[in-house]
Amino acid sequence: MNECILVADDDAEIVNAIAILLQKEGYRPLRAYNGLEALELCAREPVRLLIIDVMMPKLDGLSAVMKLRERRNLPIIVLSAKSEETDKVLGLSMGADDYVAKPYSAAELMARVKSHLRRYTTLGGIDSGGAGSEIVNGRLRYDPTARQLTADGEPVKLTATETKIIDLLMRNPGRIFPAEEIYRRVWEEDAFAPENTVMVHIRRIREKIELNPKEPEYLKVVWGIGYKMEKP
Amino acid sequence: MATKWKNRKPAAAFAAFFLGVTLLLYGVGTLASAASRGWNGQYGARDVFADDYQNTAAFRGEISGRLNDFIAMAVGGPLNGYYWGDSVWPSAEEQTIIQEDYARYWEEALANGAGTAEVEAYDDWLNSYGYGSAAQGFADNKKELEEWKAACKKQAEDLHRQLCDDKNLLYAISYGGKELFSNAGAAALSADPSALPDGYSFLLVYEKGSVAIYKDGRAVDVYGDGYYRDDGTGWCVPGYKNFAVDDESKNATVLLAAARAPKLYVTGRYAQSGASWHYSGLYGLEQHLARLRAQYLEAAAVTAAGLALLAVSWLLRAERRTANAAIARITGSVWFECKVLAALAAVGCPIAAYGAGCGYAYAEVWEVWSYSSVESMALLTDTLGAILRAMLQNPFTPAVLFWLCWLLFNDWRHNPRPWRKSFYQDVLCARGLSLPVTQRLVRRAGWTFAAALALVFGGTSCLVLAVVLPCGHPVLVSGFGALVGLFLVAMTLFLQKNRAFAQEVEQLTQHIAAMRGGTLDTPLIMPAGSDLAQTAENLNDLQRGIHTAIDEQMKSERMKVALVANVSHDIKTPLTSIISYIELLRDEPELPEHARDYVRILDEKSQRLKTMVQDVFEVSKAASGELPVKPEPLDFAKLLRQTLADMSERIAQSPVTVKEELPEKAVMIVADGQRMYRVFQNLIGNALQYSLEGSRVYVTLRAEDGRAVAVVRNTSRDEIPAGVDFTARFVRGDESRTDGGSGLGLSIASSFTEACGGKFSIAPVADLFTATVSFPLARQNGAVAKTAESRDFCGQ
Repeated sequence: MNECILVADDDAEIVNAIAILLQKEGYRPLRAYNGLEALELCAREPVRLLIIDVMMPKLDGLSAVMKLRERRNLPIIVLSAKSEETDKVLGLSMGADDYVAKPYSAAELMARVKSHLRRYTTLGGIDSGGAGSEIVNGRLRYDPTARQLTADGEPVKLTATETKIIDLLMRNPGRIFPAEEIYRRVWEEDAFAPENTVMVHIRRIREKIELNPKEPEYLKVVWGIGYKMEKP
Repeated sequence: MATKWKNRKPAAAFAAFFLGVTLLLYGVGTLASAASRGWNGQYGARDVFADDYQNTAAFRGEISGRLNDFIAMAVGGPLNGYYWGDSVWPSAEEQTIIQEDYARYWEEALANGAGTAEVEAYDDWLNSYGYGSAAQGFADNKKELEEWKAACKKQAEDLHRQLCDDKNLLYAISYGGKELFSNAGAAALSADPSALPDGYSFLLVYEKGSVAIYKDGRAVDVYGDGYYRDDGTGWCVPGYKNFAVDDESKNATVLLAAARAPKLYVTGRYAQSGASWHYSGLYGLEQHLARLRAQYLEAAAVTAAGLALLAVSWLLRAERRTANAAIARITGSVWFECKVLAALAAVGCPIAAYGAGCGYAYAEVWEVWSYSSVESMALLTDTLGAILRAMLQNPFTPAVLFWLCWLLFNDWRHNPRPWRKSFYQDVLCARGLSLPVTQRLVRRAGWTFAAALALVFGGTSCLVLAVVLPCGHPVLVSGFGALVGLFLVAMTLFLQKNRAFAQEVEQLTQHIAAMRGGTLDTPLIMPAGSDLAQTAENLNDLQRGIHTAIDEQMKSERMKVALVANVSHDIKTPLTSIISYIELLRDEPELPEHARDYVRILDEKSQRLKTMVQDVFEVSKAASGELPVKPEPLDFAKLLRQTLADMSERIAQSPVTVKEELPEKAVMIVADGQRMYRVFQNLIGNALQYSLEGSRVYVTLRAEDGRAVAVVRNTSRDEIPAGVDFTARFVRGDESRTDGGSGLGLSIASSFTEACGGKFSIAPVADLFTATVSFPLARQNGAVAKTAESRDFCGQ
């Protein structure tokens, strides 16, 4: 593959560590140590994905992202020590595709890199929309007729029960389902205290579709109320 | 016991003093009233303590009086002072005739054979009954005179009937040798003292105008030097050189014997009036003497007891001084005005009592006015005087007056400058109040009080004078009206000001309440002249100060959070490198086994550092109130079930069992679900981590008293150190343990719960660790759950 990935951070060691990880995964990492360098490299090299820190000298990460977004449509992952929700919202609204908080987990970062690259390269970069009946939700696509879920274009293997849950949740993105309702509709019977059963299945599905199952982006618990499929 | 006595000693000393003085005053008062009867007088001291009642002035008086009556009975004259029977009085027509025939009265009376003396005596007798003017023409004929004589006779018979049954006094009355009246019966009296019947020790014989008295058979020297003196020692009987009798009386003979020990005589006349007690002068006299004797002895005993108690109190004088001081402390709190009034009463009462008796003397002064007003004035003062005198004659009144004076004296001795504590100082005087507002308030009330006082005194005097002075009515009534008007005006002004002040206080209070509620930007505006303008200005200054202080505090809190954020950011950057390279190292295949171990430790510790940095940041945000919270209605029970389900793997792996007692019904509260999940994740995580192996962790939820109370209980594996605030940051049950926790778990639980509006508490009892999270129940129970369900739009 040897896709070119630009890593920009003022901390050389972090850049180096990520580069090593990327190399291991078979990508070609490019190193930049400030925003201007990142922009220059992007102009010169065929960069397919950008991992960029926010706080950098000369030109900060977010400004660089904004500049870049004027011309390019490549996936951008913002890497920042600021982990507050407001920071995340700001980063994403500036044009970033993803936001990973420092200290990151190597596995998660690589999973995200792969996910974005796959969508960018294989699926045409933007949500191009599938066949008419497909339900598209961020990285996830669901074909209700075939009862097939794909994450980043790759089919997800689900059990029958998990498929039923996904069918229910993907059809109603954003709606909160209490555990009792999920149980009633999936198992088609009433149950006493179904919380545990439902939770177990939800967790299993998460492990199949989420990049970081501990901090799920799609399949979320609404504490004290129920479960929902997040609409990004 | 000893201390008790010591404590009570002053009280006992004072009680002895009090009782001593009171008893002494009572006893001395009684004895003094006895002394006022004199030594020799009837019922005087000599009488009361005489060995025999027959040796008393009272007895002599009684016997002399009887003798006078009996002589009168013998000679057929009118009786002085003893009128028992019906009378014969002239009718209205007779009186008219009397007046017409006035001129003929003397002439005809004399012509009918009446002596001049007889007619004059008759005239005098009538005179004594207030019929003098009518009597002068009364005896126009002899018949009338006969009737008068018959009346005298009837009186004599009546008296005899009254006295004859009293055998304490035997008598025989004869005139010119003929016995007229006697009650001696069979035991006939004779002039011989040796022939007295048994039980009788006193004999008086009146014969030929002189008296011989025998007591116990011996003759008594009646006349002494032959002159009668009115000093209570002698016998008031005829026969002295200065007490002669007329010839008629010399013809009378009276024998009179008195019993040695008088008895009560009762006669039953059941056909007429049942049993009747007879008038019994001697028995009554003797009884009265006995009563007086007992009374005097009692008074003497009381006096002696009083003196004894006084002696005791003198022995305890040191303690009594303490008691005096204590009493002075009490009286010291009484207003000076009350003391002055009390002093005036103590001094004025006796004066008024004796002064007010001369009502008619005052009346002389008021001579110019009508008789009726003088009458009413005199009546008023006389009545008042009578009441006061009656009060003073009570033997306790001197004691009361004495104690009043004593209290005043004691107070004056112990409390220097007693006028410092006065009604004026306490209520009316504005001194000691430094603020113009308070001074004004007190002064206003003072003026109102003065107006009320003027109304009361002025009004009362107006009314009294209006009654007393008939001519002054219009002036006085208008004066009274003016006083009432003045008072009403003063009162109205006061009430107006009071109302205005109340309004200002209300404004001020409301403003303070608003300040407490957080409104700090609107100042309190009051008109410049108003009572509380200065206070309002001060409050506004204070408010500005608080406003600035709060702003600064907010700024500093924000700075603190920013600092923590910066620091945590600065830590995170190198930490990122560390974690990254540890991960790279971990994946290095060629590392020797022990190096792999080192890497594993590095990995664990760096992960812990990562958690810690994040936790510190969150706790500091929560503590400064900067933590974003999204409260929404949620089912607390469901939240706990979800949390337990979420942690089911960890629970399964842990050596403890989790028992849940959660209500099936929704328990709705308003909180941020995500934050509360963190709270219970921490609490249950802690419980799993620190519980005794094989023990049970209890997760319960109950709705009680309008609150949802969730409790996580576990039995600690290690001893819980006492006196540790577990919600403080970086506190851990075991100081030396280095497990995975950041020490911030409970701190996060506590601050998150409070940020969501709940209450968090921890109560370790022995090895039982209890964490309680409570929230007020949301009002529309279950309403949200329904909305969630009703939003059913299954299928697109």
